[in-house]
Amino acid sequence: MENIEPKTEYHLKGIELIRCTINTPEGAPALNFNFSISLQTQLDVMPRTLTVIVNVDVISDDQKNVFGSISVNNVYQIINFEEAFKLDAQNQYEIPPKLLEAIGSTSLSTTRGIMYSLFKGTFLNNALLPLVDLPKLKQY
Amino acid sequence: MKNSKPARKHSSAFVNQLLAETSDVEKAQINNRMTLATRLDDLIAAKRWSKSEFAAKVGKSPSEITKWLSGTQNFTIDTLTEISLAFNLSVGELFAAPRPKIINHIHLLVKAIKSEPIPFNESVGKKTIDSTSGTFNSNYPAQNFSLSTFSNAQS
Repeated sequence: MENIEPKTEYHLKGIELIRCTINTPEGAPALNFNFSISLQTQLDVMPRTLTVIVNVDVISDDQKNVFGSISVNNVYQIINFEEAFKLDAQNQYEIPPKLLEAIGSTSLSTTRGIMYSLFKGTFLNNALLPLVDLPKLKQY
Repeated sequence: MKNSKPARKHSSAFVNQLLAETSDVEKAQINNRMTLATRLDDLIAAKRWSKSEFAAKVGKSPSEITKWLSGTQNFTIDTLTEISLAFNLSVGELFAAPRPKIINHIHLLVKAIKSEPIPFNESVGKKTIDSTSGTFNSNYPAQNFSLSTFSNAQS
């Protein structure tokens, strides 16, 4: 359980592996692994959860071949939902940006570990998901 | 902390007789009423209204709202219309399970920029920084990467 300004109490409720595929290329093994990463955060009001869906495709240089892909749901339970998430004038929830960054980074790390575990021993053994500094992404 | 004990299953001749006397139509009616009552309760909680506030918005008394939430009310289409307007929903959405709302979506492309293998001790911890869109590093010994953000949607 962590505290973030404004104080948000949350914990990791669940991790769901949605999809994992490995497509072994024909011929010479690939030298370069490129990564197409998608992070989508969903708010579910009634169970008071935030779910970060991380999709990663390991792709070729020309982005035409997908060597492998993985999709992981990371579910976070917000303990003090009413206190932490205020409603704005349009009745929309205001989610603290630092919370989004924190759970986004945690979800990427979790996915990195799952990827390593699943791709270990295959030709994607070295396709480590790079570290991404989400707070420094201006648009995040 | 909620009690995590699973619910006990109870069975008796009396309960079984009651269930046997209930037709499938009646069971479906009860199920729909309960579902709607639960949905109303959830919607009121999501808006952070009290029962009195909700009652004022639909022009009813708080005791009537309590009856609605008990799951015994047989709503008319006019009442459902009033309720749906209070929540800014369609009547159909009152019966649908609420969908999670997407609040943030980001898409990153991390490209390998070197294909030549690099000795392990020279590459570990090496960083490539794109100052316009973000930073990352990789400990993967054979590659460096560049990162770009090519889509981001927030609703």
